[in-house]
Amino acid sequence: MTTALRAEVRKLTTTQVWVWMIVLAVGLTLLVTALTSAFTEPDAGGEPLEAALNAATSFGYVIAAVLGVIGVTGEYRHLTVTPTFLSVPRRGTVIGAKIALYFATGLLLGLLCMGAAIAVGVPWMSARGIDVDLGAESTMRIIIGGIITVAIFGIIGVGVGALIRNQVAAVVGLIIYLFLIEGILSAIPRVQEAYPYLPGGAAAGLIRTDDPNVQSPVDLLEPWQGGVLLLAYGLIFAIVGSLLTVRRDVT
Amino acid sequence: MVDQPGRIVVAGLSKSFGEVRAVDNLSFTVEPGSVTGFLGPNGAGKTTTLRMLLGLVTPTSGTATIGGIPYPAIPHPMRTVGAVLEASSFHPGRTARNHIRVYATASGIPESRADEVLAQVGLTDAARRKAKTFSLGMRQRLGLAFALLGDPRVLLLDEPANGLDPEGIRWLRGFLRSLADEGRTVLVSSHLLTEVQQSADRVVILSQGRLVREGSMDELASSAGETVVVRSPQADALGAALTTAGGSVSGAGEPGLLRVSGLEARAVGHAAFTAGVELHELRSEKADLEKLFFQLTQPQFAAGQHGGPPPGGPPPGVVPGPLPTQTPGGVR
Repeated sequence: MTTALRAEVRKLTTTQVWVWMIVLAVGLTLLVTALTSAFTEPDAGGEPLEAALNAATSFGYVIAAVLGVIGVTGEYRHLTVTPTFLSVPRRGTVIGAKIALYFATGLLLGLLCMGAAIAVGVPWMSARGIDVDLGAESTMRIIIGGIITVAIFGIIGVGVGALIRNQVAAVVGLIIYLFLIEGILSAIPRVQEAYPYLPGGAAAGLIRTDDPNVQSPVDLLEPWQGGVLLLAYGLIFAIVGSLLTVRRDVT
Repeated sequence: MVDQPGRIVVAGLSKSFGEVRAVDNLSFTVEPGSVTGFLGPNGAGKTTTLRMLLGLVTPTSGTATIGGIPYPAIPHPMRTVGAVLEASSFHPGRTARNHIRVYATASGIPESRADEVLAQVGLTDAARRKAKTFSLGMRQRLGLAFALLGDPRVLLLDEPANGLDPEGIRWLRGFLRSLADEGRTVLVSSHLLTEVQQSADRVVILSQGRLVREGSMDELASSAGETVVVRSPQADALGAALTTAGGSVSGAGEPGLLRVSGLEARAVGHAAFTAGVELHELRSEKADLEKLFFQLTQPQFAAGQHGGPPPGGPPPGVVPGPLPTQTPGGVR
């Protein structure tokens, strides 16, 4: 398992995709934080720093999931799945190593996004006279919950990639689901009651904010419940993918 | 049977992809210390068989073992078996050296081996280039470097000569020969007999997923059969005499010219002399291996009418078609 994990680390770090993905997530976080800092009126109320941290989490978890998806589907796309399974014939070990790696990658990505939002947002907002309190309970909850969310989405990405081996289908499907489908579902009466239990809803529970401007249409889960549910989604996708898809013939 | 290290045993192996029976009750053995040509036209089931040997494809029935063990159960598989499958199994943005080092890490082989195997296949100068810049011939060499990483006793190579230039093919032949001379088992597939004719000691020939011939290169050459061509103004009388002598006689394309198989030139001359038939020409023709290979792998011969039935295969004369699945021994 440790050799398989070390090989996965080497796979990730010997191509450029991870660098560009981190640049993209941190860049988008900086952009949103800068816009929020520059244009929020000091006496508008609400929690602009929490809004920026929320945005950082969203960019982070989408990119973490995409990295996880690429980590699995890239093997099929570039046919490296052949040498991978020749060097580690136990396929579950390969998927397990990828889960560990992309959880860690998500952790790093979450830290970078949060760090970027705090490093730019806190001084800028303070300078404009906006009341920011980094130590507030709800702010701390978003920072820690957000980092955990991003990390768990790395696992979800591996799971989705294992289920849907086609890279384009998996990446596009994932993004459409996270950005469109869950938003639509959460707006439909009755159906929206399921939203807290969907992956995006579970993530929203994990990083719930007290900002009255960011209101969910339904009651979200408690942060710890959201976290456990999110992790369960990631692991179930990965296990089902391993049992159904990854075991198939490599031709 | 003693499970000798490095011996490849395929027993009653079958694989169906939906309706298509890609490999059909295939059995053969590959002995260590030899280069074995694994031959058949495209679609004969060579790649599927190699992938079953490597645990990448699960057989529908039958077994494929290396040293008596299925590949996924071998403790350090890359140190026992090296394989080259498709020519482009790498990330285009990763350098050749990093590609090899990834799999060295995965199989617990020291990283320093990466530079050694790249040197062995002549890729030292290109080691730090991204794989996407490689020509097809260089990709084949990179695949070979991956196969050699664990210094394996057994090498399975699927069409390694594809994309190599004549110089590369010559190099590959010598390379495979030297690996076999070190006592390794080398199984190399090709759709061209001529490609392995000079380097292979033995051949396993497939057609439509079935074994049509297994044996040494020499046996194949002798079964291609020397034929004797004979010209006589009394062809009818000569034909009768030769048939009586045990030969099998056919026309050779022009009046008075006969092609005889089953008799040596000496025996043909003797039969003509005894029958008092005048001869104008008597010569023997060398076996045409390529032609024999072509005949063996024609669909209508796939059931094994030529050269006897394959072991475990259908009896001679059985029309090729759907056969009852039978797995003599080694049922999973």
